[in-house]
Amino acid sequence: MRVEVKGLKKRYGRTVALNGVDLKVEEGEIAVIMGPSGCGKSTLIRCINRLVEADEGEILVGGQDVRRMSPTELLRLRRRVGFVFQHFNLVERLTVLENVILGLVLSGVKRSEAEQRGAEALRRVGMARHLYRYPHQLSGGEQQRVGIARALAQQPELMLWDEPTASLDPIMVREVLDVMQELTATSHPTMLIVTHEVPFALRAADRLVLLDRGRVVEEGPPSLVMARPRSELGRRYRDLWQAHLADLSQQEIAGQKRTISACRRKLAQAGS
Amino acid sequence: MGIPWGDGLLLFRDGFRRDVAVAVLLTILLGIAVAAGVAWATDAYFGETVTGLLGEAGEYDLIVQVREEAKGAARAEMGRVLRQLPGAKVKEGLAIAGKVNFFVALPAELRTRRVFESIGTYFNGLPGYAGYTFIIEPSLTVRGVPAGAQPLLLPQIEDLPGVDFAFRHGESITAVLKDAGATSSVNASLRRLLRRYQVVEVRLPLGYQTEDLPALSERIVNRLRDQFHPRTAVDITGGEGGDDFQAFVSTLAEVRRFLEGYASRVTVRLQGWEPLRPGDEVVAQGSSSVPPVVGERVRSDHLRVRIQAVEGQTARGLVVEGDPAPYLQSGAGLDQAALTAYRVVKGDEIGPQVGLIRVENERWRIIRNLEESLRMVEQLHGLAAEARGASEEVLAALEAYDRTREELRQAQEVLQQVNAGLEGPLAQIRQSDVDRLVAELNRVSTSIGSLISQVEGVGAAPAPGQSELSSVLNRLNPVVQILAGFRKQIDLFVVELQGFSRLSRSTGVVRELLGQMEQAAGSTLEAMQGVDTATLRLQLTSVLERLEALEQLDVAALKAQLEEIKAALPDLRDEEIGRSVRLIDQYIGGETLPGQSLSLLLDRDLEPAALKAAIGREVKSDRVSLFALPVGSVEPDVRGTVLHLLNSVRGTIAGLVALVFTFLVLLLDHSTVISALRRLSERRCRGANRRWWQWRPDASWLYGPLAGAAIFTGVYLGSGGRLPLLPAWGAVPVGLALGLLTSLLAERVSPVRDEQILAGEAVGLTYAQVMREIVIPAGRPGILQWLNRRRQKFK
Repeated sequence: MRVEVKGLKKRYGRTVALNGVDLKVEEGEIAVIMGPSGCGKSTLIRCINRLVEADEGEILVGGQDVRRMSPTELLRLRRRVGFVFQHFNLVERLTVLENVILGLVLSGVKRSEAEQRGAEALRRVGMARHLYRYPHQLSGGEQQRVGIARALAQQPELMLWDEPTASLDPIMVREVLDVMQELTATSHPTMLIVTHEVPFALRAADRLVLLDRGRVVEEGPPSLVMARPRSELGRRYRDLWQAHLADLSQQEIAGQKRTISACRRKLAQAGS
Repeated sequence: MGIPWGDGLLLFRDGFRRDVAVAVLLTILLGIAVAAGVAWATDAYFGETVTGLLGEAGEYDLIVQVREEAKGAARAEMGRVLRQLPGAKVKEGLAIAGKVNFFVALPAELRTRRVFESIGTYFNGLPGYAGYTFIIEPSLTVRGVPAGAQPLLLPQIEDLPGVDFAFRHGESITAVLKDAGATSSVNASLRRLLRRYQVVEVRLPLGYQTEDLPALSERIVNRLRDQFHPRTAVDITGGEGGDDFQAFVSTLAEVRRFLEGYASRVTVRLQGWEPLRPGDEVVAQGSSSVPPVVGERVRSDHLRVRIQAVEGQTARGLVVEGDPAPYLQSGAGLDQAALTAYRVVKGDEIGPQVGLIRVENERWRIIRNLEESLRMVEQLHGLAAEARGASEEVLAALEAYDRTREELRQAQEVLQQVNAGLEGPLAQIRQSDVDRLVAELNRVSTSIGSLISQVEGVGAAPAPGQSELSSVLNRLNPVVQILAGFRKQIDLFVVELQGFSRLSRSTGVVRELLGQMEQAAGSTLEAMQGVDTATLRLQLTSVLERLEALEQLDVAALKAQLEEIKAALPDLRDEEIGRSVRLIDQYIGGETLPGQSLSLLLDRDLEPAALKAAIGREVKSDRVSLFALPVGSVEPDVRGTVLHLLNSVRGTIAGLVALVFTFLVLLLDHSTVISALRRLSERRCRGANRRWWQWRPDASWLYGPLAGAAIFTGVYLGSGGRLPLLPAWGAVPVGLALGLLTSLLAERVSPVRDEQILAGEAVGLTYAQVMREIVIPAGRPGILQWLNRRRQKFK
């Protein structure tokens, strides 16, 4: 599902959240949107399925202008779009499986079929053993995986990820990133991912979009953006990436040294 | 920005509007059932209680109340009483507030006006008797009918269709009906009858004096008849005299009048242009050493006076604080500063000068007079003795007077004889005649001298009998003056006479001298005889008798009595009197006093203003107060009254239940909807940096009050709720207020998380589905949640 945003503007009172955003994401493309906090990333992604109403501009999803859709058309669109929230947004009184199939059942899918699809989605995110648990019985990472399964169960043509790891501790971030990594590698819906995870973004993204003060300041393939950043924000992300790579090299050298020492100890023991 | 609650209203799409409407409707029906049910249960319970207390309708005619401690004796005595009412039955009821109720049923033949009007005489001999109440059924009672109007109304009430008979008791007339079915028609007839009349109470102005109130009343009635030609114009003043309250108020008025007479009367002679009005206060130096100073505070020892009346340049008032003694003792001897009065302003500040103050006090005079009387009584015996001595001296003077007169008469005879002996040309006075004449005249002169000294000695008579003695002496004094002149003539004549023998004067000269003397003696004697000494003596005897009685008085006892009277005079200070008068004024309404008012029974259509003008002209005052009152009010019988009361209670209970029910439903059910509305409305304005004055209501502020108004109005009116001071239309604002309160509390009672709504929206749920599957199931249990379960897919 192709997404095209033209001159999108959104204000909250006096605060300008989006100040004329232009963006194109081709069908099956994975676009990662990065930028400092408060730059309008979440607003942009929520405007796409009209969880937030934009003030001006055009949002074309699959060729249809979302802002001109009737309520029925909007509902239909939302059922084809998966949305993963930063705070999971699970319904506390429903089980894991019920949370996943809520949208399906209420959109008219038979309960049995919905449960099958739900169970499959949960299996994909590694939550097959927790179908009948309630959200409060799960860890943050598990809850987010349920949130991802809920989006997947819709069999979406477009997936919108709103900082899915921002509310998680580092261990749980890893859990969720692994799932996302796996999904981006194996699924083919169009994806718009808002995240601060630079390594993940550079590994997974087909297109990196840098947003600052409500405007797209730079976009393109991640390798290109990181190699020749044109904006201050791009340079900052590049520095961050290089620091990360250096850190990784140090870790690798230390790891090799430890391996050599261990081999030597084993050889010495064998010799003696 | 558009309509601030536009986003909120999205919630009511896709069928949720119908869910809410059904819930509100069901809530109203349930609320009506609950409120009406609770009220009905209360009504039924108390209705049973009433039947238990009063028996079946028409079973008993009156309740006789007896003090609980005398219950046994009263029960025994009741049998004797009932023998005078053959066929009557009695049932002992409950004791309430220390009184036992005996329910008495009379046989049909005793249910008459005569028996009912005299029923008290049968029972008032019961031990511990504490009154009775009629519970005759069916009946209607007209209460508050002045006694004077009752004879006029009673026959008219008895003539009404459906009325069996009527009887009077106290200020009420009870109409006993032939049939309970006639109650409403008789009630309407009675109200129509009462609407034809009005009782006009005329209060004459303060100080209005009339010796003959009935005559004045008759004049007023005649004037009203002449001027307005009413069907009814009757003086009913006399018929109200027996009222206890009137008597009490009259007594209070008398006490007030006594106190006013007893208090210091303060007069302020106004100067300048500073006007005073009744109720104003003025202050003077009083017993304080510091005179009032304009702008300073009134001191507690200053004399503070409350003005009661102002006439021209003179204001009269009563002391409300301070001691007026310096003004009473020193009177006019006080200086200008002490006499100056100032207005009291701002409650306690000395204002501008208003005039000069003068204080009089009858009580102070009485005490002064009593003290004088005591001093007099102590001297009474001494004074009586002195008066007696003086009276006896005057009596002695009268004796001397008579004696002198007799001697003068004899001297006159001698003069006549001697003068007669000198008839003829050659006659010559003899020495023996001269000697005889001289002796006689000297005796008269001596007597006159003695009389004069006696009368002069009596001069200073003491108080008792003083007037009588003065009267006697006043009668004697002119004669004594004449006698004094005559005595000088005698003395000169005697000297002349003694010279006759030596000078051998001619007979003519002698005769001329003798003639002059004889004439003088005659006129003196005539003057003396003009005094009726016998009458004077009788007067003096009477005085002596009274003095004797005075001397026999028990002076010690008299003195003790006077001391007692002095001690018995109330020891009230002026400020106490002033405050008491003010209190009484407040209680009895100030300007008019009982006894100075008239009650008239008049046609209802006469305008009070026109009546007031006509009466004012008759009493020649425009300060007449006039109050138009209804002639009475119709009340049902006791059971009807109790049932009416219970109906009110039922309405109140229904109203209260409606109120509580509505609030609970709003909190439990609709606070969830309100919170959801607020979440949706806020989403549009999120991040807006608004000041408090930029706040605008969202849909939640509309929904809460509307739901509150709909539910409360429906339940309140549907259940027949009647809260005091709340008319039917008042249910709407109360409901709005409840809804508004719920809107305020909604997010504390039923918080709704935006994330959950967003989750629903994101997976393509309609708002109705979001509400049914996510929001309402997570809210408080209530009717909406219960209804929602039917439509809920995930239970």
